[in-house]
Amino acid sequence: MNDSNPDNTTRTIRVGALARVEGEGALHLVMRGSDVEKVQLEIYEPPRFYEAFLRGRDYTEVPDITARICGICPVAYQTASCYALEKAMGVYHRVVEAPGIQAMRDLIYCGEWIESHVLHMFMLHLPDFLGYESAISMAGDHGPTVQRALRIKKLGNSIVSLLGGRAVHPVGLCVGGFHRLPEASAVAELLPEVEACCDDMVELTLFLAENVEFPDLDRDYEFVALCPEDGYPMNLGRIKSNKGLDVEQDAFGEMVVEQHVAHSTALHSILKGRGAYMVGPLARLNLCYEQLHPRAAELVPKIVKAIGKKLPWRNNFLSLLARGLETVHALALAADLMRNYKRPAQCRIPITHRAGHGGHGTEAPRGVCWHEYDVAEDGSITRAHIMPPTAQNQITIEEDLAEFARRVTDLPDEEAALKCEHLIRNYDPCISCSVHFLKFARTWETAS
Amino acid sequence: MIASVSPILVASCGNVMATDDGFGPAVIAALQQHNLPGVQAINLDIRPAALLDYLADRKALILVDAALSPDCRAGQLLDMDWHDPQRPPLVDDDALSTHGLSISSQLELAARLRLAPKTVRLIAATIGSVEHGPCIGEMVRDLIKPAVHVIAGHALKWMDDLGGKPHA
Repeated sequence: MNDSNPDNTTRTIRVGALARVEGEGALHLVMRGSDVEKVQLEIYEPPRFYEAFLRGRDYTEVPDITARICGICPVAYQTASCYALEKAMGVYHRVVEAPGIQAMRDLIYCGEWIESHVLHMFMLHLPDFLGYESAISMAGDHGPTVQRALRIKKLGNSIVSLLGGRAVHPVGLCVGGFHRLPEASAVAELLPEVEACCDDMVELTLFLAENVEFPDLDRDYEFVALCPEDGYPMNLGRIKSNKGLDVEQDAFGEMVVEQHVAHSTALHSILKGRGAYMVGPLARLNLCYEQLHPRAAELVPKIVKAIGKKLPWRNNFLSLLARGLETVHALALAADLMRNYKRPAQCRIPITHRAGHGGHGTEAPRGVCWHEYDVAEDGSITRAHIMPPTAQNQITIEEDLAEFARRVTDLPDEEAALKCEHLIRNYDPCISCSVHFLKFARTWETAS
Repeated sequence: MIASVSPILVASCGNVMATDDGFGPAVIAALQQHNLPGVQAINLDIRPAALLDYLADRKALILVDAALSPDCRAGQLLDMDWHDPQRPPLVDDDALSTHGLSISSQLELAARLRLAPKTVRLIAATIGSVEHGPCIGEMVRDLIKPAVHVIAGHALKWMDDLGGKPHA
């Protein structure tokens, strides 16, 4: 509906459908003058009940079942469930210390970051910044850039396929390690492409820093991410924030309060006694930029110079660059891991099932993906608890919108909606993977 | 070493956990038993956004999917030129979008980038509704074998046209 009447004082902006994929949602914004009265990211997709139907299943089935939660980041769900269950089975330390297994978990995760980040950056997010309706129209003017991005995205899928058996819903990971690991020759064959793509991604990230104009937004977020002592966040590490949160992986669930709200079928998360928080690439970068791979770290000063903003960044529009840096990091780390690869004698730690409990999060491309399981003596799951990153970010997205909406009051309907969509896409939300195409309607209502 | 690609790509999408929507993956599984020369058969599962990764240097693409069409009753096998303006309308050409990159938008993007194969066909089973569950209904299951025959027919003809070269 488009019933504009700018003489009235209350304005409702409704984006009716953030269509498809892992989530379905809408945006509902009510403004009085330049004040935001209400902002709701409405997630109306029916609940999927994964946690409920995991109950009673054997623990070995969990990684393959949870992988189906997301078509873009299945590795995040697999690794988080594996580590949590390895804790429950008492083999976690043996797995992470086993030669080769942890390194290959990092490698397959690099693949997922590469394909997910590049897909989002160049196919979905960049058109917003450059003023195109879609990647299709952008390709008309920036074909070579899109082609280079596609090559890197494809490589990410190849890495996932190498270790996971297939790029879509990989099946290689299991509780305890991997079902099998590749021959050294297969890994070596892919290495030159990884090195070439790393060089290319360095150039592309610099290109973005030097040529994209980033809207202003400055918010005092609580950034939350895994913070390992010896590397950039991915699979392991305590969970910390820039405002003093510092907990063991197992305890993170107790720190988070998940709430039902009427306008969303996804739970809203806050940190107990603290409030909303942000997970994702900007959080990881701000907390751990000193741990980036040297290839990515050497880019940081050039990017800072190009955009004139030192880290930490409090503007989530800069998540585009955070993803660029993380993609370089993932490519360079992947190359290192592949150069050093020797097929381990043992690809998984044998497990004798037992009753237990374990909680663990890994860094999905969109942020901490945290799983917790209780397992019965016979190895069946008695309780499952999963906190996906987008659910954790939901309140922060709404708060961003509330802040940002004041700046779109003077814009025409379509432009206002596009700006709000652009902001939502900063989060690459999985609940609304196709947030790129929204149906938009705005009404002017008579103020009461 | 850069491996040469098969000139014909057969790509399915569909959710094997959503009854008749599993038609495409089932056809690919059946097709892979036949080892057709010059054909690479892949299942994109519920991530059709990966199609772009496979398009470069192909001569022909066959998409295999379940389809809702207002013009066709359920249980029919459609074999049509993707670009034919007369082809039966599908309920939503973007229905399989992930991350906003539907099959149609990917083919459009591929065309812009000159990656799109010259020939694109859609082999689809028309379905009624989709339920949760792994079992394909009998009516759609009966279309799997015919679909494989249709695909094999196209592939053999195209390979003849290409002079039988198994690689592009």
